[in-house]
Amino acid sequence: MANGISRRDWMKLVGGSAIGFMLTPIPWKILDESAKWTQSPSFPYGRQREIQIHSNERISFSHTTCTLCPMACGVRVRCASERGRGSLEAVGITGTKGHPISDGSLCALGVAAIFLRYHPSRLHRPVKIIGHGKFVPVSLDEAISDIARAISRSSCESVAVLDNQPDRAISHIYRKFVGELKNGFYINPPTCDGVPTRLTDQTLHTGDLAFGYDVNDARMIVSFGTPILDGWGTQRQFASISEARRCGGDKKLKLIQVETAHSRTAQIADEWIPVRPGTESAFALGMANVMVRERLCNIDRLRMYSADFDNAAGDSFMKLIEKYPPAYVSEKTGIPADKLVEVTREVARRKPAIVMFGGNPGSGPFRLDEQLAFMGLNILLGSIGTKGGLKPRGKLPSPYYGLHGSDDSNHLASMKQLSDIPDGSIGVLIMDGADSGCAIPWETVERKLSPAGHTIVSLAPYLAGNAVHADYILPSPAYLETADDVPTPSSATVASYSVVSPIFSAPKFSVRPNGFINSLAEALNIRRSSRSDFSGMEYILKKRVEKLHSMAKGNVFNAETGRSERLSGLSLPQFLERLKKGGCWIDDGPAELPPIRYSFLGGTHLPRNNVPVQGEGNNGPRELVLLPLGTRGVLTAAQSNPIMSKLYQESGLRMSANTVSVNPSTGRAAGLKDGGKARVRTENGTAYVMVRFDKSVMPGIIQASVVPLTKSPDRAEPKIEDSVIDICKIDSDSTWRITNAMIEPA
Amino acid sequence: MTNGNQVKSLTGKKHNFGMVIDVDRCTGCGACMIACAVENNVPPGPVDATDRTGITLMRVYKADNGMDFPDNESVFFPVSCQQCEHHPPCVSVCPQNAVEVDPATGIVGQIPVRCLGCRYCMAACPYHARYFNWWDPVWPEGMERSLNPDVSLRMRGVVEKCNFCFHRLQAAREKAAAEGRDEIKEGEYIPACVESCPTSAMTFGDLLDEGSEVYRLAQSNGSFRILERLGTGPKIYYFSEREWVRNIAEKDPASALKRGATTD
Repeated sequence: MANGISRRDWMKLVGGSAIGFMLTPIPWKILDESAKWTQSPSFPYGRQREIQIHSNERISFSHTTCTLCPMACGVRVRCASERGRGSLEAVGITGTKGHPISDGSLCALGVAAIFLRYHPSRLHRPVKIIGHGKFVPVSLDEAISDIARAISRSSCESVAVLDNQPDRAISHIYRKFVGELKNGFYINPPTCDGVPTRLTDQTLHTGDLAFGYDVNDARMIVSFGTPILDGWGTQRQFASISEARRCGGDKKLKLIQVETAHSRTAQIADEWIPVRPGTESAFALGMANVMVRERLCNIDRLRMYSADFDNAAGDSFMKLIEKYPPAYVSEKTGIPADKLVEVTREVARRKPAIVMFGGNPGSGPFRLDEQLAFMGLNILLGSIGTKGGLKPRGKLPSPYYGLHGSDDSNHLASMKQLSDIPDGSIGVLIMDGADSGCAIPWETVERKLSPAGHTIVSLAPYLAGNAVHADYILPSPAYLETADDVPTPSSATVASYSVVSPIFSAPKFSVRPNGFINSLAEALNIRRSSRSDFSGMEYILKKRVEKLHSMAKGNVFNAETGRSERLSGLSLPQFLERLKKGGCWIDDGPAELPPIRYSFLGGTHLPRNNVPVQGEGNNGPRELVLLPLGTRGVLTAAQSNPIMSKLYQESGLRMSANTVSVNPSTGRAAGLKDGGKARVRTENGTAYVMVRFDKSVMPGIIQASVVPLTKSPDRAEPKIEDSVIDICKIDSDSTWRITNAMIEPA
Repeated sequence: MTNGNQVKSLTGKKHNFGMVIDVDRCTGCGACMIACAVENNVPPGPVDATDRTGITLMRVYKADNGMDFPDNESVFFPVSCQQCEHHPPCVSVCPQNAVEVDPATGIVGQIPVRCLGCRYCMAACPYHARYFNWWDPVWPEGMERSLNPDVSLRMRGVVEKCNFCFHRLQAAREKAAAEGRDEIKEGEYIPACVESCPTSAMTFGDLLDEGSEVYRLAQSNGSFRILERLGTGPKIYYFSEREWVRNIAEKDPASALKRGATTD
């Protein structure tokens, strides 16, 4: 027997030690620590960087007004500052409690807006676009010089400013600037919230008097495609509708949604009337027919106050609605005639009633002739100027001229809409960075541009929305950095005014719109005088506040105390201070309605013998109808805020970009699968989409979601493929509600 | 919940915080989801996050009456941790004691530093209200400067859930203490989702306080709880006047709501 250690013994020792070692905590501890190390910032191959959260030792609160859309919500910003560093950061946003317009509420966009200063698509210097999605830095001076040269060159074409939130102080600066140019246009987008002033002027002859909806006192709302429960109006109006729908007794509000799409509002309205696409106005005229036939309205009064209600000699509203008896309307709309009669009787009985027709932010407004049909219904119901109906609101003073106009008002460019501008006429287009809340398909703008060459300038802080089509992007200050004002929301019946104070100073690269206009005016040698001085936003705002103060009426909301005081009891500095600190001025009530006469057929502005009404719907046997749907801020950076992934991507609460819903029968007939990919083809192009089968969608309809394609911080690149809205058919009046389309598996 | 100046004692008095959600008022706007994510420092989902892997401590589901066009009706259900009162399943299965019920408030809390990521609690939760951190928390550059200083981040590999914004209760207590009070006032503490709801569909408060609005609503006709038959005693009540909506909770709403599908 040998005494030495054999090879076998040695192997046993090593093997045993290894097994024994595995039974000790050491290897597991090493494994655990290694795993932790891979998640620490010092790990060289990890993508995780150190995240330092502000300390909560120094918290302060500031109040201001939200600028993401024209609805003027009061905002309370929670700020944290680092000890010793002095840097202030927003660490929380809520609504301002008691605010007369928003009453402490914010929408999802407003709550998420805390991150907008650091949005991945924010631009950090002026850039010049040199190709699809490619850009190079450019100095502001160089950009202004180029733009001024383009304006000088474009003497045959127009210079246009597209202002998405009209009646702000900066809007008056734009109008002033455009007014100084001989070939200028000042353009406003359509509104989905209020009553178009052009329409009220044509039907009521009230000039530029603006009307809003008195939803607080209404007992019945008939909404033609307006997203009443999905971002429409001010937060207080929204809350008021919600409250009134839930209350009992005489004050209970009933909401009837007349719409083809199974929109968010259609889903939760008291009643959804799914008319065939494009037949909403036919339904409205059918209701008018029933009202007149059953004398549910004051016909003698209408005859007295309207020349075209019952005009035996020429065209009249009576003759028009005679063509829309319930049986005919039923054939067109797909709604049983009995239902039409039943709804009309209920609407006529349950007053005050409002007919709303703003349209969806994704599918845009109705055509003017369709709006006339809806407005006619409001007139029949006696809803003009009455409690719970459409009420006029007071005007805000301009920083440049008084309430009743003066010599200076002549120098402001008149307000136009895109449909007013001749195709191919714009040589230089300046797009303001604010958002109207509604989509503006690029083609509606593009067709107005000169084919001989054009220059587009965007003042948006982000490379998002229509800014991606610009030649120059001069990034304006972002959310919470901008000095601005917010006039009356277009849905409101009472005038209001708020000032937006910057809570954070804008970075040096930011281009203030008024500074840009001022520099451009200098480069163009536009004379400098008190009239044409475009600089000094603070000065302009102060002038406006001064004029408002001199009116000595209304109440002023103090955001810090949550209380309101009479304006007449405040000095000018006190008033200015209240507004600067997130306050809000509110008029005493709606404006007085002047004596009006009704023009059902649109007065002299439309040919009296031509009130076309869409109603044919689907045109081809294999064609479906594409209906774009969106919510407020449909294509903006606010909707593509990375945190919005919670709604669009991580929960499916809202359909993500380029997702369409079809009825299972429609989908199967087209060879589609639920969850599969498909191609949607229209005369304008092709979009690749994800298909969802939804048995609540009307057969024959492609219900498409309009949201920005960007969906995460990793994909903040500009437009990468056609979205649904890019392939919608744009009509000559710049509307795009109905598009015939084909869908097939991709 | 904010009316009145009633003062409640926190010293020695037991609370049972709960919520009533009137789903007839909910419009599915998603403000509560965003407010929750912002308040609790939940990062945006990475590009490959889905409804199964994303984190939404408050999630609004859409359900419908199962009818075809045009008779289809919908309802939106905001669903967060149901704050079970009786033997919360997640508490009993957790091997790490990472889920605890605060006896003073009744709030079921999650302690991420104890969690080892086994996800037993996710399997046990019948409400699908727990979420696993599949990724490190990442915000686009700069956005982390706007994170809420009152809430710490959770690392990859741990489970998280709604805790009724417990840090807000702490802040309310601190404020009360700084003002020399032992008590917080009613309405001084509400979670971010409740605060953000534009239709006031959510009412929050102490279910033990018989004078409170939340108690009244929870006891009213039309209030119901999801999967009540399981006996977990959720402290989130729902309210609807529509029978088919109430029936959703009696069947198998969790999976139906999870699919966002019908419940026929």
